[in-house]
Amino acid sequence: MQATKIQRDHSLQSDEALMQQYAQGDFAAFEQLYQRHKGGLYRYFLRQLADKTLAEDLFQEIWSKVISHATQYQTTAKFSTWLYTLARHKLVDHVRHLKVVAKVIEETEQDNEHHTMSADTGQHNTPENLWEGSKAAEALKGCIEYLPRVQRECFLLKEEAGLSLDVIAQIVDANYEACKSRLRKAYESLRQCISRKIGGKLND
Amino acid sequence: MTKEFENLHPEQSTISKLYQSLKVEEPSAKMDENILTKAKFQLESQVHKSSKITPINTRRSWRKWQWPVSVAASALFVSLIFVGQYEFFTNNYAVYPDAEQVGIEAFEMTKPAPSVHDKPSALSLDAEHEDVKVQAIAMAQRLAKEQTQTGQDAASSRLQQREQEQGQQFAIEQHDAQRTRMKMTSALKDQNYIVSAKIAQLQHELNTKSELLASVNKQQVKLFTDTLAELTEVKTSLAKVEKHELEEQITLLQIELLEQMHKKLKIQQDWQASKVLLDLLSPAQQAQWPSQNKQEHKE
Repeated sequence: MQATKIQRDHSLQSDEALMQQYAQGDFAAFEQLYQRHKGGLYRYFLRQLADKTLAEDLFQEIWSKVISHATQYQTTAKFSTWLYTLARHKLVDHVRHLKVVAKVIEETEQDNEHHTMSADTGQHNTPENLWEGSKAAEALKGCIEYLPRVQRECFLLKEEAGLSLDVIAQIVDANYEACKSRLRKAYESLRQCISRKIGGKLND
Repeated sequence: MTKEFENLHPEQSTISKLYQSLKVEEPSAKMDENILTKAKFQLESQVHKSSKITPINTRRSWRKWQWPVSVAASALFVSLIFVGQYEFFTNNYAVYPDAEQVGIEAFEMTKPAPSVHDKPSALSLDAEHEDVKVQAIAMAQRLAKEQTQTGQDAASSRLQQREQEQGQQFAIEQHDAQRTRMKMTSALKDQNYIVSAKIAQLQHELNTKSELLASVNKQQVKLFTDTLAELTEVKTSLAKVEKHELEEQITLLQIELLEQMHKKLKIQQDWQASKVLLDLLSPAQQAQWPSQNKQEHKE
């Protein structure tokens, strides 16, 4: 009964409070925190890298960092902001490390900005995948990969972490208007891409 | 969804809904377990560290008293030494009457001869050191006397006598060392005096030479000015002499010219001299001019 009460208390608490409790020795607080953010962070890496193994490695590294820095954590910013800032830095470091990969990504982005998203989506665009489950959802999954990196980054931070526009701007180190523009373009590109893939207008 | 995103794109809500339906990927259970285990291990290690810290804290709290205790112990030690050597620090003969007696004896024994006081300061210092030496010997003798008075056995008195001798030897060595030091100091002082005198002499010479140099400079300037004035005068007088000589030469030339003209006029009787030329002649010359020629000229 008491354990349930504590669990319920944890679910009501903010991320920052949970982090502080974990720093003071409350393991349950960390469990709660991890449950809240594990999916979003994992998918953030997965969608950005399109490589499950690499996404898992980076995901694990970020949580290790959170664990080791728990005692130094100060509630000057929101936990989610801190977490996704760490994640972005890790991602940028990784991309910088693999210069060849970065070059390829940039070229892909340029191509994507000039061309429409009518390209073949490869494995994700196979008829089998398209007919499994929601056709549009599958199309969206493929389309996200073809978004320019900066747009994809903003889109994922918004959809996965549910962050506000100014927080996203802070994380991606851009100004508010630029971030807004990126998101608008991302939605438009995704709409066009999905419409082409499913061969009709996008409906709810 | 926050309100600020609603105006971004008309299809935004549709795309968001579609994306939410895609949220199926999750990290594997193994990974969850790894991370949670790591978090748990971190907590345990923190607890372990904090438990290890406790004895350090205890030790630190003990160390808080380290300095006060050290200071108190030092103060106590110094006080003990002071009390033990009270006689040495204060010469309080009331407390130690024996010390007074010995002091007087020593004073009597070391009364300096009048001739020593009449000597220069270095010698008086020597005399003072001599006093110290004698006092040390007297102190040693006093100690020996005291020990003899206490009626100790012969062996211990011999031992004490040896100690006394050692004390005397030490006092003599100290005295010699001090004397040597004083001699060195006086030698250095002498050297210092000589060097200072030399410096003063050089300074004086330098000043004299600089004054001499200044006066020579002044004389040179004066001489130059005088010479210049004389030269100017000479130049002026030379110019006057030359001018005079030239005037004389001109006059002579004029006379010669007129004489020649006169001769020529005598030869050419019909020639009529112009008035301009006649004006050039002196009155005597004009008088010599033939009257006939004048009359003809008038006619």
